[in-house]
Amino acid sequence: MLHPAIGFMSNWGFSWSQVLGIGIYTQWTVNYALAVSAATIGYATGSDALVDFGSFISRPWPSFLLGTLVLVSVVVVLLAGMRFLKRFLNTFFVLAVAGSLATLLVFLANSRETFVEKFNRFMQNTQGLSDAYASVIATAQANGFSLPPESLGAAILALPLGYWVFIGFTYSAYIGGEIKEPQRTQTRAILAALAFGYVFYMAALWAYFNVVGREFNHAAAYLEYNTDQSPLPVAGVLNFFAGLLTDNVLLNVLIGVSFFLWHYLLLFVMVTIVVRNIFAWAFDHIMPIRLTEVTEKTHAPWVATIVVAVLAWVLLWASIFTPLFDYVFNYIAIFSVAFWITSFAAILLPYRRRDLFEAAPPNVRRKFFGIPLLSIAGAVNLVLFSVILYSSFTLPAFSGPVGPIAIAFLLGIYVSGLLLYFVAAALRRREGIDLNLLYGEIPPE
Amino acid sequence: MIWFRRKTRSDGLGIFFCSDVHGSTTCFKKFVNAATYYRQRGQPVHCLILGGDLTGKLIVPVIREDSHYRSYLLGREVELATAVELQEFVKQCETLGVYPNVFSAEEYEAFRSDSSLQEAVFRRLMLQRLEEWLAFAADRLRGLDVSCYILPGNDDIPEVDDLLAQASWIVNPDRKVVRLDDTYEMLSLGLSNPTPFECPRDVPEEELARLLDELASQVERLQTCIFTIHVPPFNTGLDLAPALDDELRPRIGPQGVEMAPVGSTAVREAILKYQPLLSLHGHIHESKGVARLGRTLCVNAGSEYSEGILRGALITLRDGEVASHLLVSG
Repeated sequence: MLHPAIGFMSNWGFSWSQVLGIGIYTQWTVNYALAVSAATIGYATGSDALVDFGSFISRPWPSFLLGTLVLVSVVVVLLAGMRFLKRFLNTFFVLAVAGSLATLLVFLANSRETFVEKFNRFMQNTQGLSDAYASVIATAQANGFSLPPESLGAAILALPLGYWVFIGFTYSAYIGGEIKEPQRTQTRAILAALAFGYVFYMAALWAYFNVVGREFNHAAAYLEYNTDQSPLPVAGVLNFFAGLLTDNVLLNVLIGVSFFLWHYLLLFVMVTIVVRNIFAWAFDHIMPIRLTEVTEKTHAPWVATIVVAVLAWVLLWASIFTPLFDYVFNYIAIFSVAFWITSFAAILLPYRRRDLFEAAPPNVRRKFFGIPLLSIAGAVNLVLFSVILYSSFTLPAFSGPVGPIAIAFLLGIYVSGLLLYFVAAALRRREGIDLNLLYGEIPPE
Repeated sequence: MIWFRRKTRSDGLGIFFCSDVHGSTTCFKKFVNAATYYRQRGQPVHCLILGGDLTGKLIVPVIREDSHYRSYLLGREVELATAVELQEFVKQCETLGVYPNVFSAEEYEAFRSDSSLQEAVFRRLMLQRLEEWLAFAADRLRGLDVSCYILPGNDDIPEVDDLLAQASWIVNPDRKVVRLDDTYEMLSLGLSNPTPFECPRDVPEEELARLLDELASQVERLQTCIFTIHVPPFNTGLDLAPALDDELRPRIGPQGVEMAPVGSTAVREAILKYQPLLSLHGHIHESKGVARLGRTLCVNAGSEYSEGILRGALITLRDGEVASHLLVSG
């Protein structure tokens, strides 16, 4: 549909968004998820050691070292093979979901009054601050905070945030070749994941805002991200507030572990995606063949896995010790360009590859007023990602920095992908390999 | 030993290999046209090799009812009102690798209840399509400076050998060692280790090992020999297929479809023992890839025949080495 160089550029850009994401998510796994979980459990159990541990691992070097361990654990599990990885992810997915359900139940079982009372008591005991709930709102207001008005326009501009929440629902396509009847299973899995995510998020956020209060939540976030006057001992996140609402240690541990797992498990998914992309590039001779080497016992692509881990490790270091990410990491923008480009392929496929389209399953071949549904979906996707890209470059709070450096970085990633393809094609041609032949269709007649 | 071509080329020996077309006319025709297609794009191809499983697996009955036809394809009932629609349907079946056959209602009833009749019709349709293919190949390959090797696979009935033997411009290298040029020889075997489907050319591992030893003893220089063996070597990643239950359904565990290595241990041992330059395989459609066993580069081109997509491998041999390899799909 599109030139292979454009296809590679798109996949290259998407992969870099994931590699950058792995670097920063590894940091968040430690000093956001693990640190907050440790501190929350520490407060709930009265364990000063856990509270201190949470505080300790938020510092740069401990954060880096623990992040390194996290990355090593990801590599070890991935090298153990796909079967073990699936078992690992399934087991911890159940635990993570259980923790999230427990969090939801905690919010459903409490009222605003209970939360205010428990929050105030906690802050009095740990920080020596009285009437902290009202104080957080007042301090934020004194620093320029006001509750933003609700509008449809604001909701549309907030699409990147909504998109971020649901990111990953299409990732199962990466294992499409390894499942039974992918044309049916994939569709169901993607829709089921979206439905589950939607229902759960809506219920959890409704319960959360009902108990914590919208104004308080926004004020706490405002203080956290815009000032140094946040009185909270840890980041004011959902699981921290849930922890304050229950004295049950087991429930608190479950909520904390779940919060950590959602960050940690995502790393496996992201690394797997990048490894598979690198493997495919090498398999198609765009990258060195060495990257396709697999372990003899588990057939895990060990060279590509190590390469991704090393890249992520360098980026982990950069995210902790340098301000690089503050200037360049517009995650959603980098990510969305790939999906924006893919829209064109979907629009064009029924017209440029009629043979493929005609051979597709009936649900793919459906038409609406004579126009292929696939092309319509591509056009809708194009509009959606145009809005997301617009928001990404106008609302830095949602997706990251938007200055000229960030834009240059984004362009640099995609342009380098384009150049890389042509350089690889030229080098391979010298070896007698023509990359244009990879997917060239031999005429059957 | 069969001699097909003798001269060693300075630009190396270009090979296009594919396997498991399973009755798909589209894929077979693409295979035959591959040499011309790639040559026009600057990629020399001197040898075409099809590594087995030529025939399809399914008859699609088309029932004639008054002025129209009725059939069932890809889980859907199909009504064909005109001759053009019937023709398009037949073409779609040919792409998918299935055999459409028109029956009257009475003929279909007789066909349904008689397994020997089913077998006879199936056999006739398989051979008829293969015959058409071979005529097409002879027409296209005539005068073309390319050698074409087609061997049967474990799914192919014995009569396939007779048709291949009669074909012009094609060599069936099965159970032989053939010389591709002055430098390179090719040992070929279309058999497979036992499968749950009890295919016509499934044999025990011991038999495979014996045949491979016998054939290897006929090779003059193993370092520059190609092993074209339908079944891939065991546990190389080229042989991962869904594990099946007693009713031949894919086994679904808590982690999804369970995959298992189903390649041949005899083939693996033979490759490790004789260390040819290259080994070419098919059989396991979903395990497209390359692997190394010692010095031997092992290739499974995979198969997507039912989509009309031909998966293949473009390989250039030069100075006794594999100069390049590229898995293609088109």
